[in-house]
Amino acid sequence: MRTRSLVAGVGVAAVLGGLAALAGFVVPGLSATFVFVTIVGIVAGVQGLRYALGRRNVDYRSTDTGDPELRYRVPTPGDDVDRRLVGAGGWRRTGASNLRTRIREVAIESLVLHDNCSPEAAEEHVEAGTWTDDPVAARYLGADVPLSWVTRLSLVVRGESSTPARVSRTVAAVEAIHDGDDSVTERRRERGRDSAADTVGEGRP
Amino acid sequence: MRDIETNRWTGIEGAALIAGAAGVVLQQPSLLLVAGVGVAYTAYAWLSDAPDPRLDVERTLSETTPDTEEEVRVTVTVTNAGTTLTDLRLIDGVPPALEVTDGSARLGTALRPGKSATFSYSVEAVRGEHVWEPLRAVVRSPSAEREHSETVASTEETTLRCAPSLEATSDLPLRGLTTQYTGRVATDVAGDGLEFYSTREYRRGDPLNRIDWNRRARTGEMATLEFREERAATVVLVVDARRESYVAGEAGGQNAVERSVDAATRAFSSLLDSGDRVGVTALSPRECWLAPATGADHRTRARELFAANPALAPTPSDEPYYPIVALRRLRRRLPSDAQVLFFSPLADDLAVTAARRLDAYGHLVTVVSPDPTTGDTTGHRLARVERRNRLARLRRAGLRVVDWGERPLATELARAGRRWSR
Amino acid sequence: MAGVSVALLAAAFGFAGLGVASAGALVPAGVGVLVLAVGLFRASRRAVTVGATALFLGVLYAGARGGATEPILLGALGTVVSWDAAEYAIGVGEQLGRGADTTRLTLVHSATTLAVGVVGTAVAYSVSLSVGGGQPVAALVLLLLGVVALVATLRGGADDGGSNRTRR
Repeated sequence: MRTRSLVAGVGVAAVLGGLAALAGFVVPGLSATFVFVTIVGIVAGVQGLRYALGRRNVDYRSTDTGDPELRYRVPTPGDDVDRRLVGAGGWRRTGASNLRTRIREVAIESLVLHDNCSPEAAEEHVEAGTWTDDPVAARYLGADVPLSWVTRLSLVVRGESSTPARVSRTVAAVEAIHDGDDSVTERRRERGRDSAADTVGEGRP
Repeated sequence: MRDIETNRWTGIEGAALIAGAAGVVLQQPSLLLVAGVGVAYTAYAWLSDAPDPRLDVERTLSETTPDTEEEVRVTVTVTNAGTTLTDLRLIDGVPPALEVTDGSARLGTALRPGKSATFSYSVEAVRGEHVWEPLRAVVRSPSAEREHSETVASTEETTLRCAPSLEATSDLPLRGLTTQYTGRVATDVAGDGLEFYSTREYRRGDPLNRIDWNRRARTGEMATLEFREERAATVVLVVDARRESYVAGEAGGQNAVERSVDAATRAFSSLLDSGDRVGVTALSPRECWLAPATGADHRTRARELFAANPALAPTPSDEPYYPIVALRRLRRRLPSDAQVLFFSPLADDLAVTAARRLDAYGHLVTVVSPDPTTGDTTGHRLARVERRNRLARLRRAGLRVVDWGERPLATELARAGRRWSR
Repeated sequence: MAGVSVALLAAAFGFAGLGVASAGALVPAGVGVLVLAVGLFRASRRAVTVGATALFLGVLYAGARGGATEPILLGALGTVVSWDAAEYAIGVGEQLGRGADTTRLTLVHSATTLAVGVVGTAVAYSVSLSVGGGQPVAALVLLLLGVVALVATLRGGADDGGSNRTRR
């Protein structure tokens, strides 16, 4: 505070002196030597440049006036899931496991309601991954189904190995339970019987 | 209320100093004059303050009680009762449920003391009672470096009240639903009704449309048709207006509660027209109860309720809601023979619980569910599957469910009615 | 829209002034006008600032080359008024949107800015005309030194006050 008053005092004195000299009064001890002029010029220039460059990273502030002319926005069911998938990149641990539980419940309930499974059978299907043709979806809900390295690699290459992509595939698989005319689990079971010989030896890579 | 530095003049002092420095070092008087101009602008930016506005706001509506979807012109006049305002920006507080369809609810102007400015815009009326919020006034210093913002209420509160029409004959084919209700017992009394019961000799004054014209053509005898008289049912319309039910497929579109109330309104007049006793209530933190009754007065009361009851407002309330208590109270209020038409988007499991609870109390429950889900993102698809499961759960429990998507409700009801009568 | 016209008109005047003062200044000034116009239509504050800076460099160049005083002052005025109008138009667009009527607001603001510039120029000009003999260069240097000191103290004060008020 003291330095500032001092600088301000010097400033006022200098301005007054300068004005007086301009008006024709002779100010004692004032001489326009080249060195003096250059030093003052450089100081002023450097300060000026500093202040001017301060604009580069200034934040412009103003009152946010909102959108009163638009209708009140209500959410669409599922917005919370999208926010979680986008926001944390799907990597926040608890959020991810909550979502997994939620989808798992939806899958089991869908099997019960649309495939005429008993709740226990539906849970077994989800546990074993026999509820869907999609190994990614089956694995996301915790089933230990094989997924070859080739498939994994191609998923990574296509950018489909992220949590949002896997959740999307899983939801699509659950939707398939609703859309299919015939029972998904029945179909799987029949196909599984045919190809059991192929999958047994492969195991989990 | 508060002042903001907008920082828009940041750097002007630097430009002045650079010009001055260059002028002194290069001995150029013109650059020193430029520096002088820069100092003037620096002072302009730094030495003026945003004035404190004193404004009188008057707002008029071209129609304060419009019908739904009617355009209402809003005219706002702002008078400056204080000092000169060189920089005044006005943003009107349009009620949340209304959307501006024409013109702009904002104005930028300068006002000398005593002068006024006027701007106008149109909104589309939607059902409900809408109160305008205070207008926001943003003033800046002449250089616009400082900004001050505050809200100004109009001298009189502006309210738009839009009641649904209950007079027009409703087209909802609810008869297909209600004839199967226990309350609507087909009696063995000949009279007014739908189902053919018997014929009797023509008496003077019988309505023309009841004359058996076939027999007249065959035998030349005049005879009058009689129908099985039906006893009126008692129906209570329950609108799910909890915060969770304020959802919509598209931002800014009609939300599920608005659609529910819309459907309830039409169901009300439809049922009342067919002689049923109809009541209205809502699952909402706010009070809403219209006991079942009939008659013209009842119709007026219902219209009032649909228009202005805060529980049925197009925007949710922030008050806490205790579903168990509310359901218990609803149970006490419902007449024991009442059937329930439950309007809910079924956006959460509690809606299913409520419907099943009402069913368990012995009421015949039909769920009319406006569909708020979409399939554009993963989350939305998940929510859609969850809702489909809720519908299936209710159907499995023996409740009748109308899934009301994009098509008109009448069409969906007719489809559902055919399915149930099979 | 009024703001856009004012900004472009002022920039054109500044460009013309600089052209009269020194042909070489037309290069930075021309670039400045173009960038400023692009910034206006893109609603980019950064581009507007860059454009105004280029115009200002034109002013410095014309001054350094010893161009005539009056056109240089016109160039400086045009630079500030066009930058101010452009930034203002962007800000108003953000707060009030496209539909609102903002003509009066914009015109009054730019008229005020222009008036401040004209008065400032007139004062500086008359002082420069009335300077008698004595020690003009030394006096100016002293004046500049004083201004540097004053700006430093005022800036400090403004910064403190500003941050207290706005960081809520």
